[in-house]
Amino acid sequence: MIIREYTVLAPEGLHARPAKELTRLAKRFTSSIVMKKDGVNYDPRSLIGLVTAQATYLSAVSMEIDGEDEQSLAEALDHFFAEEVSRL
Amino acid sequence: MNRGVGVSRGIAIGKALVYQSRVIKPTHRMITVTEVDDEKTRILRAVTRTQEYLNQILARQGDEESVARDLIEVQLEIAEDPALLNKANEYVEVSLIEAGDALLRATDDIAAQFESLEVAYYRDRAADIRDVGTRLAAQAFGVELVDLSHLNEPVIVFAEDITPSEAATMDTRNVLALVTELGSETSHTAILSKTLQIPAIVGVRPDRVRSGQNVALDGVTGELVVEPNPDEIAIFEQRQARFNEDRERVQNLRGLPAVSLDGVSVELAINIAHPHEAAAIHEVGAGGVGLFRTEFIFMDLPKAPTEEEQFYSYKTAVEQADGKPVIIRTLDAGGDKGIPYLAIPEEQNPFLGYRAIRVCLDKPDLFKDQLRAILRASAFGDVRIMFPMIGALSQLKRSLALLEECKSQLRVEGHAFDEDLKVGIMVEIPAVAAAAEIFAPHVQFFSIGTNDLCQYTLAVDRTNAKIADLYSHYNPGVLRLIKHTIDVAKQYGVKVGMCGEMAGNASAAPLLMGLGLEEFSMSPASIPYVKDKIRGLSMEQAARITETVLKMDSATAIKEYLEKKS
Repeated sequence: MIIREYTVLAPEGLHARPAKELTRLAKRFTSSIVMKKDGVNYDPRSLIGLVTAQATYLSAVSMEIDGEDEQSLAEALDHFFAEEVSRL
Repeated sequence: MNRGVGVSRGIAIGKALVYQSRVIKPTHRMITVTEVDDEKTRILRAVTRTQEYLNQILARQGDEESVARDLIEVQLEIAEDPALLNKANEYVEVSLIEAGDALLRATDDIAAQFESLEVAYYRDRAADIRDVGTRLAAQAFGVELVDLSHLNEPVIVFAEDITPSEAATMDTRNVLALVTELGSETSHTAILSKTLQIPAIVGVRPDRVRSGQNVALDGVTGELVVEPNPDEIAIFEQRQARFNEDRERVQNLRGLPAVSLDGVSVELAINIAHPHEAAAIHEVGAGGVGLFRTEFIFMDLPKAPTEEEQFYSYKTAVEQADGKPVIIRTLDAGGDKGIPYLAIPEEQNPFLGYRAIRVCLDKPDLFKDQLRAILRASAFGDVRIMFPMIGALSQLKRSLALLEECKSQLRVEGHAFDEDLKVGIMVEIPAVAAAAEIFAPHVQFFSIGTNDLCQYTLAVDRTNAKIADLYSHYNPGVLRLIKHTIDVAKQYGVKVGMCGEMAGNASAAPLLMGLGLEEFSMSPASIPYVKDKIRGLSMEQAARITETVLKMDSATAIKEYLEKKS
């Protein structure tokens, strides 16, 4: 199991476009994944879940990843939160 | 004549088509336990069919990134969202209702949940959810959704609202214009019509017309005439010809700089009131946004927008500007721009009263929310900040101190912003124009607001028709104040622009060039005319014209002279 902490750098937070891209990314992997924000669990493979989380700009989220491809999923998330997201 | 709000420019004359979205209603049919599995299969089938349908639309969009494409992709994600499917399945199992009803209820639940969120742009996603819900339920019930994808002739579409997927599937070749009851300048209707370059009006109820009636409309003014008489048709045709001419002129001049015959270049910028309008920079070939009137972000709301909501608006404008400068003017409330929650009492002389910076300095929390939001947006491009209605140096100093306070807070909180953000003031109170040298050392730019400068210098209420003839920016006294402001700016190395009506008046351009104005900010539609004028002018001519004008003794004579020179 891998736990990663991220700060949301998408200027508008994880809403429509960034949320859509994140669910799409998560769906490419088979490992289980849970997003935690303010102590509540959300499913990153659900756009509805991500929007409900209201992860606005600079909010802190953590991802718990568990499964065969957890390493590559974690790397993809690193890349997403570090670079891609601020462009969305 | 009906009037709505024009949200996408252009003129249309044609036949109305009143479009009614098919309302999908629940059947309230109860099922038995033995039917549960069948209904769950129907849910899955509805999802698959909806996906197929949305993918078809997507395929028609091509590969380019676009607003429409994003909307459809979001809908695709929602259609297969596990949270939605689990909820719908649960309704089938527990409440024993059929697939269509379960999908409607599940999407209603989620939409209601979204509508209760705090942040506006999360709340707005509720519309997408309901849109997908209708599609899914229609598939489950086996009814075909009427859409606008096949139109037999060119029509002006009237509807209560156009959903994102309706807009994306529309047979755009045959849509002359869009008229909806709901929506705003930033709604799907507006954004998509602008992208498609078709006129659009919001705020007009579809029951104002019947399908087949003739309609003429103006997407700039928001005017709409049902069954126009020949005279009215002639007026709209004339406007249409003018609009097409303008568009052509814009196209021809778009890529060219605003430079005089002898190589002196000035900056032409646009005035905007809504963040999305910044995109017009690229349409008309402007150098940036010279005035973003932020009061419109504050209007029509029950309470002041939060820092987060403002940040989103400013950032949107900055992104649309795509690297070009954006001058954001802080809240200019009061005067003729009332904002209910500020509870500004009725005044005898609102233009001389509690307004603009006077309100902001009196309500520092409100002011600081805006300053913080603007600062944060400055991390995304070239943002400049401008204070309106400054009348005394102490007001400027207090505003600058609050700005510094916000910067320190943001640094502590780890928010990025432009450390070199430029600050300027509106020069619109005669006392400031006359003593510009007092203010120049404290700012990086001046922007002369001719509308208020005129009305204050001439003691003429510009909204009073009876004395309209007394109001002129060519008044010799007004021109001297403008000249002094520009001279001082040059002396102190302060950039000087203008953002009132005068800047967008092509006849005034030679005079303003001659006076040494560096930036002209105006409505996007005026850009090609002013640019055209400047490109046909030498600085020598401009200087001669200016010299002559400064010797003249009346606004009427100056106006006549400048118009004759045009």
